[in-house]
Amino acid sequence: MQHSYLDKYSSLNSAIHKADPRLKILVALFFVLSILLTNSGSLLEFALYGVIIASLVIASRVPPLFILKRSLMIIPFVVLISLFLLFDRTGLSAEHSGRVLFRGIVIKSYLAILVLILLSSTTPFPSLLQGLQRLKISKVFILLLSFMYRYIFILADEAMRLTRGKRSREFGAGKWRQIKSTAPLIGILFIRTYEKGERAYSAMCSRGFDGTIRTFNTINLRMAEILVGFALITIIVLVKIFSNSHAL
Amino acid sequence: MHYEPCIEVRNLSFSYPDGTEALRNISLEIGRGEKVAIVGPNGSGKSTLLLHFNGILRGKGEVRILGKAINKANLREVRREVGLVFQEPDDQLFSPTVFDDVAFGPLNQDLSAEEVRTRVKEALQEVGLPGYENRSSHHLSYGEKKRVSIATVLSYNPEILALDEPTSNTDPKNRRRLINLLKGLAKTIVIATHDLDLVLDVCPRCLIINQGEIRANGKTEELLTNPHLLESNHLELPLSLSRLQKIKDR
Repeated sequence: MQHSYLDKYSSLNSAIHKADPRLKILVALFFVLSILLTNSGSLLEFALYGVIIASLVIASRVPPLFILKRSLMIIPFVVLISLFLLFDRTGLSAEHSGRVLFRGIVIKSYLAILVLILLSSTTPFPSLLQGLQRLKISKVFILLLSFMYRYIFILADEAMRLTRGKRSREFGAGKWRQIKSTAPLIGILFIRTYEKGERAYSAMCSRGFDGTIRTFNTINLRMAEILVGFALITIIVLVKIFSNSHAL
Repeated sequence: MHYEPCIEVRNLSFSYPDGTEALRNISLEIGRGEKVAIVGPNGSGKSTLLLHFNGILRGKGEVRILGKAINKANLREVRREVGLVFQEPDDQLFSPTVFDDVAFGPLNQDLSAEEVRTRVKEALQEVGLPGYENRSSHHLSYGEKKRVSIATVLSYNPEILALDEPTSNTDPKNRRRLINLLKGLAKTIVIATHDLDLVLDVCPRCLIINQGEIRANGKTEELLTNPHLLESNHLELPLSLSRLQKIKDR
C-alpha cells in the first residue's frame, strides 16, 4: 500500500534543500520562538513573518499549495484548544481580550506549523535525524524517532488490513456489534506492534547490536550557509524590533 | 576441500514460554561451504532452529559455531560469523534508509567510515541493487526488500548465512534472481523453506523436519524424489519433479 511521503518534496534541489540540517533546525527553532513570543495584537509583526515564510517557500521550490494543504491539518486542533478564550471575560484589558488572544494563538500556531512544514519538506527525514544527532540530542530519542519514521506506515497498513478484514466479514451485524468488535482489533494491533518490535530487536542483535548506536557523519557545514543562516536570524530580529517600535 | 564442521547441534530441545515444544532433540552437522536446506511444513520448527544458530534463542542442548559452543561471552563473535536473514523484510530492515540498514552490521564492528561505505556498496552490488543507498526501505518493492535484507548481512561478511524463507512472496523473476544469488555465494548457507524447487536448485543436501524433529537428512535428490517420505511430512514432490512423475505415469 502506498502512503504519501512524510517528507515529500524533501529531495528537491534548492539552496534550502542543500543547506546543513543543523543550521535549518536551529534557524527554524529560532523562527518558531520569535513567532511564539510575539504580542498577540501585533498583526504587523505576524504579517512580516508571513512574508518571510512566503519568500522562503518560493526559494525552496516546494509547491505552495502542498504546504497550504498540509498546514490546514493543524487548524482544527488549535481552534478546539483555544476556543474557550473567546468566552473569557475575566479582567483582561481590551487589547488582551479573549478575542485577540484567540486570534493570536491561531495565527501563531499556523505560522509556526508553516515553518516546521517548510523544514520537513526541505530536509529528508534521515538528514533531519542526523542534524539532531550532531546537535547532541540524546541518541535514544533519535533512535525512537527513526523507528517511528520506519514503522509508522507499516503499522498504518496493518491497521488498514485488519479493518478491511473486519469489514468484509461484519455484514449483517448491528451497529453496536460492529463497534464492539473494534476493541479486540485495537488489542490485536497492539500485540502485533509489540511482536514486530521484538523481531526487529532480534534482527538488530543478529547484526551485532550491543546497545550502542553507531553512525557516522555525512554532513559538513559550509561558511556560506552559516552566513545565510545568520542573515535569516537577523531579518527575524529586525522584524521584531521594527514592528514593536511601530506598535508603540 | 577437507571437511570442517561449521555448525554442530547436539540434542537441542526448545519450548516456547507457552509450553509449545518447538524443537525436540535435534542433532545435526553442517560443514564449511555446504549449502543445506531445512525443509518442513508450517510450524515445524524451521525458523526456531535458525534462531538458535546465532543465539537469539537458547534451548537445552549444545550449538557449536565454527567449533565454539555458543555462550553469553561469545555471542557477539558468533553473530559476526552467522548472518541471519529474517523471513519478513520489515523486521530485517529497521532503519530510515537502505544505507543505514546495510551499514548497521559493519558499523557495529567499528570499521572505518571508508570501509563501511565500500562494504555497503559491494553488498548492494552483489544483490543487484547498486545505487540504492539513499532509498527509504518503505518505498521499496517486496522483492527489493528481500534482496536488501540479504545485503544487510553480506555487508559484514559472515562465514555462515542462515536464511528464513528467502523466496516467500516473491514473483517469479525476483525468485529466480534470489536463487541465482544464493547459488553464486561462496559461503556456508542454511535455508529454511518449503519452496522445494529452490532447494533442488541451490542445496545439494537437505533436512526434513516436522513437529520439531528431524525426520530425514541426506541428499536432496534422494529425499525430494521420495513421494512417500514427503507426504508423510505434509510436503509434496517439487513441482518440477511432479510433472515428470505424471509423464512417467502415463
